[in-house]
Amino acid sequence: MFVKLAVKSLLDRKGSVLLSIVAMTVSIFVLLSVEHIRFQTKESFSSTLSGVDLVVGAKTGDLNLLLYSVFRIGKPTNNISWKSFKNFANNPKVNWAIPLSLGDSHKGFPLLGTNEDYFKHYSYGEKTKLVFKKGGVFVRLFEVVLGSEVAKKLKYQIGDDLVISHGVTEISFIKHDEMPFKIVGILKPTGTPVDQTLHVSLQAIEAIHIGSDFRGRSGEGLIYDKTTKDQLLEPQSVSAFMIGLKSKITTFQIQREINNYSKEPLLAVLPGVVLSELWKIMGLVENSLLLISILIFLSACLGVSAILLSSIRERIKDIQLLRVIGAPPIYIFLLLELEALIITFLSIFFAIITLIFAVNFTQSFLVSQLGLNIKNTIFSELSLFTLGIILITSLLIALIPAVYAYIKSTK
Amino acid sequence: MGISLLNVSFSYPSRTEKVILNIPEWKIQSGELALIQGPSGSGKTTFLNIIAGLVRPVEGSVMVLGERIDQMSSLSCDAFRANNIGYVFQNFNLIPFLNVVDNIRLAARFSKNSGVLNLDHEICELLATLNVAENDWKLESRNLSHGQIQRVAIARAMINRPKIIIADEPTSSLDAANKEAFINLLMKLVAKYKTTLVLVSHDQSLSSYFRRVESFSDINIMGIN
Repeated sequence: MFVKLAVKSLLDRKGSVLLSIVAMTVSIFVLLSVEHIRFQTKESFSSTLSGVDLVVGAKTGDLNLLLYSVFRIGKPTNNISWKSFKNFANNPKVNWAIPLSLGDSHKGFPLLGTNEDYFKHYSYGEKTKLVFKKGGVFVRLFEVVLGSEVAKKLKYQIGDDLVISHGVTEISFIKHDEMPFKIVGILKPTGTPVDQTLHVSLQAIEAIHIGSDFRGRSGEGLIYDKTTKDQLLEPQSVSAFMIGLKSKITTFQIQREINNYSKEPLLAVLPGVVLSELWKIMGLVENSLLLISILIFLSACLGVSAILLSSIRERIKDIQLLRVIGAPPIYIFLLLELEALIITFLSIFFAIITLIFAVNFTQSFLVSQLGLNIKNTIFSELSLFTLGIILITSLLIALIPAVYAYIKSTK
Repeated sequence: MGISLLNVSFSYPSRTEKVILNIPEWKIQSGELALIQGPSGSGKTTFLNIIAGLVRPVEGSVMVLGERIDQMSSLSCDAFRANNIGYVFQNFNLIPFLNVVDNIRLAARFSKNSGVLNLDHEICELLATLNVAENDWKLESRNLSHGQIQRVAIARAMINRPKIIIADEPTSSLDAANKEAFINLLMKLVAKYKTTLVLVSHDQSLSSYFRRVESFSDINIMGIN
C-alpha cells in the first residue's frame, strides 16, 4: 500500500513529475555517458597494444606518433626510409620489428601495409595474438586481410574483390581501380583499431603507387615475397614500425640509439609512457566534463526536490488525513523519499535505455572518425557505483522536502 | 469510561496569552452517543483534536479508554488513534487519487486490528451496508459525489472497528436527503459495534438522533471567541 500510495501520488501530478523525470534522465544520461566514454576510451586505448616495446617513426610529437601508427588517428608527418627500418630490424637486441605503411584507405577504413610478422607478433589486450575468423595471411601481391568490422560493415566475404583509394578520407577522387585486391582473410574481432583496418603487403602498397604500368611488368598473381625478383617492389619507405626486444632491459638503450640515429631523424617512444601522458591531458578534459555533468545532475535533483516541496502545500490535507488515520510523521517522511526514489529509478532506467541507443547509433561514427571503439555493454563496476551514488544523492537532496513534510505533519 | 477531560486548557504556542479552550471537566461513557453543538470558531475542532491526540493540551488530563493520551509519546499516540479512534470530517475525508477500496485499505494499514480482520470481506460488507454501489468501489474518490464521499468516510473510519468515532460537522455540506441517509447509516453502525460517538455540529436538526445533546459553551467555559 505504501508503494501504491507513492506511485498514485506521483501519477496524480503527472505533468510536473514527467518534467522532473525528463530533466533527471538527461542529467543521468550525461553523467553515465561521460563515465562510459571515459572508461571505454581508456580501455580501448590501453588494450590496443600489448608486448610492443617501442614504436618508431619520423621525428614528430610522441603522442602524434602513437596516435597515427597505432590508433590510425591523424597522419604521419613524414616517412622513414626502408634502410633505417632494416638497420634496426636487424639489430641483434631486437626480437622482431613490424613495418607499418599508412596513407591509403577503402571506403573510409584505413589500409595498412605490413608483412607477415604483423600477424605473428602483434598482440593486444592480455598479450592476445590476432586470430583469423576465415582464411589466412596474404600470400600473393593483390591480396588483402580484413579487420572484423570492415568485413561486417561492408558485408565482404572471402574471395570478394575491392579497390583501394588514395588518401584516408571516405570520399577519394583517386582510386587504384586498375588493381583490385582479393580478400583472403578475415580477422576475429579484437576491440582495437585492427578491426577497422585492411591489411596488405608492403609490396602491394608499392605496386599500387607505381601505377598502372606495373601490371604489365609483373603480371597478376605475382607472389610478393622471396620469390619475386622485381626490385620495383622493394619498399622505399614506411610510416612507422613497432619493435619487440629480446630483453626489456635494453629498451632505453635502443630508444636512445634510435633517437640519436644520425642518418635520419627518428623518434622512438614507449607506448605505455605516451599513453599515460595522454591520460594526463585527457584527465583535465575528463574532470571538467565530469564536474559539469555532476552539476547538471545536482540541479536536476534540486528540481525534483523543489517540485516535491511545492507539492506539499497542495497535499497538506492528504498529509493531515494520513496523520488522522494513524500514519506517524516518519511515514510521511518516507513517502516523500520513496517518491524521489521512484523518480530517480525511472530516470536511471530511461537514461540507460537512451545511452544504449546512443552508443549503438554512434558506434560506427566513433570508430571511423575518432578510432574509438565504444562498447554498448554499459554495465561495469564503475557504472554501478555511479548509479549507487546517483541514488544516494537523490535521496539526500530529497531530505529537504521530506523533512519539511515531516515537520508539517507534526503540527 | 470512554473519554474523560479534566482541567484541560489549550492555547496556540504562537499566542499563549489567548486561551482557546478551558474545560474543567467533560466525560462520556463507553458506547454513549453525544452531540455537541456550537457555532463556528468556538474551538470544537480543537476539542476533538485533543481527544484524538492530534493536539496536546497545555494543561490538564485527557483520558481515552483508560489511557492518558496527552502523556503518550507521538508514536504511541498515532498507534492508539489508528487502533481505537475513527475520524469523520466535513471535507477531505478521502485521498482524492486513491479509489474507494484503497482509501479504506489505507486506514487499515496503520491499525493492528486489520491483521485479525478479513480485510477485503470487511470492506465489501461495510460499503454494502453504507449503500455504496459496487460500480463505484474502484472509482477514484475525486469522482464521487459528496454524499458518497461521506458514506465512504464512515467506512474508512469504521474499518478498524474503533471504540470511538469522532465526527466533525460531517453533515454540513450535505443536502437534507443525504444528511438523513448519512446519519441513519452512522447510527446503525455505531449501534451495531457499540461504538462511542462524539459528533460536533452546529446543525440543530441532528438533536433528534441523540439522547445526549450538549452546547459547547457549557463544556468550554472560555465561550465564543
